[in-house]
Amino acid sequence: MSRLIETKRAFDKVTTLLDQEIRKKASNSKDLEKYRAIVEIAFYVLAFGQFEYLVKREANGIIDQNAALKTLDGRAWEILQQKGDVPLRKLLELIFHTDQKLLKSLNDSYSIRNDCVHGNQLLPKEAKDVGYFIQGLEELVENFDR
Amino acid sequence: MPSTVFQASNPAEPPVRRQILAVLGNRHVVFGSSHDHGPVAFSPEHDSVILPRVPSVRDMPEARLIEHLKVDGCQIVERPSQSDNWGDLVLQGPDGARVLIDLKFREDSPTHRELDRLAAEVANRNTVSVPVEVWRFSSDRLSLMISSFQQGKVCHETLVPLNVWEATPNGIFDRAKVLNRVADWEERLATFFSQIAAWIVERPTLSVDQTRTVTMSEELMRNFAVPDRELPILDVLENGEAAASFVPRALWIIGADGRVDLITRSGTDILVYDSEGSPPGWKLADRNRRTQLSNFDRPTFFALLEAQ
Repeated sequence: MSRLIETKRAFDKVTTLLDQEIRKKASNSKDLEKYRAIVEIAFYVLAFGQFEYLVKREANGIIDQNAALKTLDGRAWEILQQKGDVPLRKLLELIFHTDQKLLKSLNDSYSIRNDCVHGNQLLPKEAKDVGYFIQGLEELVENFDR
Repeated sequence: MPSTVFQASNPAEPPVRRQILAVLGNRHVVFGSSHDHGPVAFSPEHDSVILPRVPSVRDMPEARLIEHLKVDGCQIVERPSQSDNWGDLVLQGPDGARVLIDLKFREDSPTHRELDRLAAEVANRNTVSVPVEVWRFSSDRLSLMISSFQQGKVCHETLVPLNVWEATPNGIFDRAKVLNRVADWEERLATFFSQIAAWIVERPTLSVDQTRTVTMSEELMRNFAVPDRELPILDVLENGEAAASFVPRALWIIGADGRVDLITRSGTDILVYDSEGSPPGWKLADRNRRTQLSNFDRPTFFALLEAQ
């Protein structure tokens, strides 16, 4: 079980609490909506960070496994292994290259994450359902080798 | 109708009198005065250029902005070669009057410190023979601030978007379409909330309240300079106590034509407007499988309302 599950539970709990505050009229509804938008960004970025960690671990596993082969290909993998610090987009490609649609979607999510972290942007419409997004990431990492 | 007659702009006149067409990212934006701007001088039909799309405004080369910039009644002419290379273009009026213009592109509104810096820049550069202006485009909340030297001091004037559109090989998507979608959303919400109010009439312990609002400020609205809207929240009260709230969350979502969250004592449920259903209407998304939709009708509503 990855930390993404806990993150999803935390997100559901926090947004439920905020929603209940709205229902009970406990605070200004406009303020609560703003807080909700910030919570969504925070959890989106956190979940992607946790996913990134698992992608790196999985990709490094693939690289190490292939580099251990005493073949010509193995030598190429060894060079990659020694290079270290491969950009995340390359690692995503390494793992998800057989599903180009999924790969594109993950690359888009990474761009959204970067825009939120470095560009002070709000979540665009395609990223609004954060709970669903985290669940999707969790389903992907379930298939990783552990 | 505007109370004053609009005249073609001239660099010698205050910049606020001008109308300027700029391509910002994938959008064409006509900037002008927020009042008395007269008829909009540029239109999607006559002034669109179809350009390769850029991922975001930040990825747009400045050359693209300069190349497609238009100013009503004025010409953009080649910048004379200078030793210090300041300025991006020269604006020439019908009488031959010229202004040297430096373009700046930012995401946010200017800070006080930046305004001071711009004022100093204009004051230092401006001469009688070569008047200068700094045009500062803001992409987040579309605006164009022009800093110029007028009557012995630097003035910062802000032009607002008069129209915004995107031109693609498939046609034009303009601000009017966004405004229409927002108006349609407000209407659909009003109809929906009336329906809920009608459902609860049969139960005397229940009542509705629509005094609270949420601010609708979606990405597409910001991109097309559509002002924020205040949308009502529908509160359902049971013996005067909060029992449920219908909160409009988004119009532009993937796979549906709007989302309202129904918050009850038992949790939050997502309602989406299925415009492709027959008939189109509100559907309830399954709590565990969001893509699984079922009809949202009176029995469903009361079941959710009564669940603890």
